[in-house]
Amino acid sequence: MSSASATSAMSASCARHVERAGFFRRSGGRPGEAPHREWLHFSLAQDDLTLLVNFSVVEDGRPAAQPGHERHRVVVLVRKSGVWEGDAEELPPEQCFVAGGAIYAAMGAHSLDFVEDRFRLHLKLARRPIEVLLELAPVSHPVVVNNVRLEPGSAPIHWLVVPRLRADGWVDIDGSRHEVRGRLAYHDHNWGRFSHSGLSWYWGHAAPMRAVDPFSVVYARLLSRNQGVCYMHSLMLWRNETPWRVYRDTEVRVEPVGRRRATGVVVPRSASLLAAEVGVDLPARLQIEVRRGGDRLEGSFESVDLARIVVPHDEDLGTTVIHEVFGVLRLRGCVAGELIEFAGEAVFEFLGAGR
Amino acid sequence: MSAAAQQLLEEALGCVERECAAAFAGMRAALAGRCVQLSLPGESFIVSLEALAVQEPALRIETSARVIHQLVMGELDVLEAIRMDRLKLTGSTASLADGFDAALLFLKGVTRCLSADALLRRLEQLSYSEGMS
Repeated sequence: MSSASATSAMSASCARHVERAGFFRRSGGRPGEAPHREWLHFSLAQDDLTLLVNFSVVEDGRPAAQPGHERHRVVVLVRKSGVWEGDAEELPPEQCFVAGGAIYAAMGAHSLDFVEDRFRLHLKLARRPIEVLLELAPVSHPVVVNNVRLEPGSAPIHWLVVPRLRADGWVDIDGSRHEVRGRLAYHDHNWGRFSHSGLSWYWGHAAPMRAVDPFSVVYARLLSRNQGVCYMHSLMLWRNETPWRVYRDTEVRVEPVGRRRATGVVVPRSASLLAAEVGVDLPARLQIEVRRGGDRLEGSFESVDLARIVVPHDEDLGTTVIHEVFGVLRLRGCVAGELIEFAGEAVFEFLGAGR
Repeated sequence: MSAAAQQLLEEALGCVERECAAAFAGMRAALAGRCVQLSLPGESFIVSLEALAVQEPALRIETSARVIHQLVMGELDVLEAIRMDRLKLTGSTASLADGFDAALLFLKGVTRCLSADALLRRLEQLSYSEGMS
C-alpha cells in the first residue's frame, strides 16, 4: 500500500468512527428530569485567525414552553488579529431540523452535515458580517467517553472528542475572505440530561503550531458548580491519528496561577448585561504537570484574551458564562521514551457565574 | 405624544409576570412599591408594578429607546451613557441601587420569555423610529 493510499484509508477509518459515534442523540422528552441538551462544537486555528462554532439543541425547560419543545442555538465566534467578533443566534423551531441518529442540522441560515467522510459547515450570521463555509475531515480517531457521573441522583454526561481534523474552505469577516487550506481543526460533541446550574468545567484543546507535529492535546476537568467535587479529570494525548495516552485524576496536576479580568465580547449580544466582569475567578495561567510511571510532562497554558457566551438557566434566575479563552499551550517532557516538545494555539473554556 | 415605548414595556412586563414569576416577584421586592418615571423623546410615563400607584416617582430615568437598546446589546456601558449625558438618573442612592436591581431582574425575566427575540426586535425598531415622528 502506498503512503498516500494508507493516509486515505486512515482518514476514512477515522471518519467512519466519527460518523458511527458522533450523531445527534436528541431529546426523548421526559417530564420531571433535567432537560436533554447536546451540542456539536468545532474550533479552527489558522495563523492569526481562530474560529469557534457551536450547534446546540436543548429541550426547552422554560415553564411556558410546550412539552417536547426544543431550543436551537448557533454560536459563531472569530478571533482575528486579537479581536473577537461573532454572535449567538437562537433560531425559531419552524426554521430548524435536527436529525436524531444522524449528523445533520439545519438551523435557519446555518447547516451542519456529514458527507463523504467529512463535516460540512455553513454559517451566516444575521446581524454580524461573518460567513463560514468549511469542510472538516477527521484525521484522528475520536475518544468517546460515556456515562460520566455528575452529582448523585442526576443523569450522566457523555462526550466525544476528535482533536484533529483537516479543514478546507473559507471564513468571511466583514467582507474580507480568509481562505482555509489544510489547516487543523478540533471537534467535540456533548450530550446528556444536565443543567449548567449544577456543573462547572475547565476544558481545553490545542493544535500544534507546526502541522507536522504529531501530537494533539485535550484537557478536561468536570466539576460541581462550586468546584468542590471533581467528577472527571483527564489529559489526553493523541499521536497522529491514534489516541495515545489518557492521564487521569492524580496523574494530572493543574494549578491556576494569577487572575485575569473577565472582559471581552459577549454573545448573545442581548445578554451583555448578564455577564459579570467582577467576581469571576479566571486564571491567567494554568501550570500543568503529568506523571505516570516513566512518563513526564510539564508545561502551562498562558491566556491571552477571551470571549464570553452567556447561558441563562431555565430552572432558576442564575446565569452561566462560558469564557472562551484563547492562549498558548506548551508541554515538554517524555512519554513512552519519546521526547515531546509541544507548543500550540489553544482555547480553554472556564465556566463562571454571571449576574 | 406616542405611547409605543409604554406599550412595549407593559407587554414585556406582562410576559415576565406570566412566564418568569420569580423575576417579577424579585422586581416587586426590589422596588418595594416605588414608582419609576421613564422619559424618552416624545414620551413620558410612570412605571409601577403595583395595582395602585399613588406615590411620586422615586426614580426618574431620562434617556432614549436607542440608548436602552445599546445598553441591552452591550454597545454602551451604563457609566459611559451617564458620562455622555445620554442617560440621566435622578433619585436617592437607595432608589438608584434598587432600580438597577429591578432592571437586571427584568432583563433576566425577559431573556427567559418565549417572545424575548420579538420584544427585542420591537425595541430596536423603536430606537430606529425615534425622533422620526
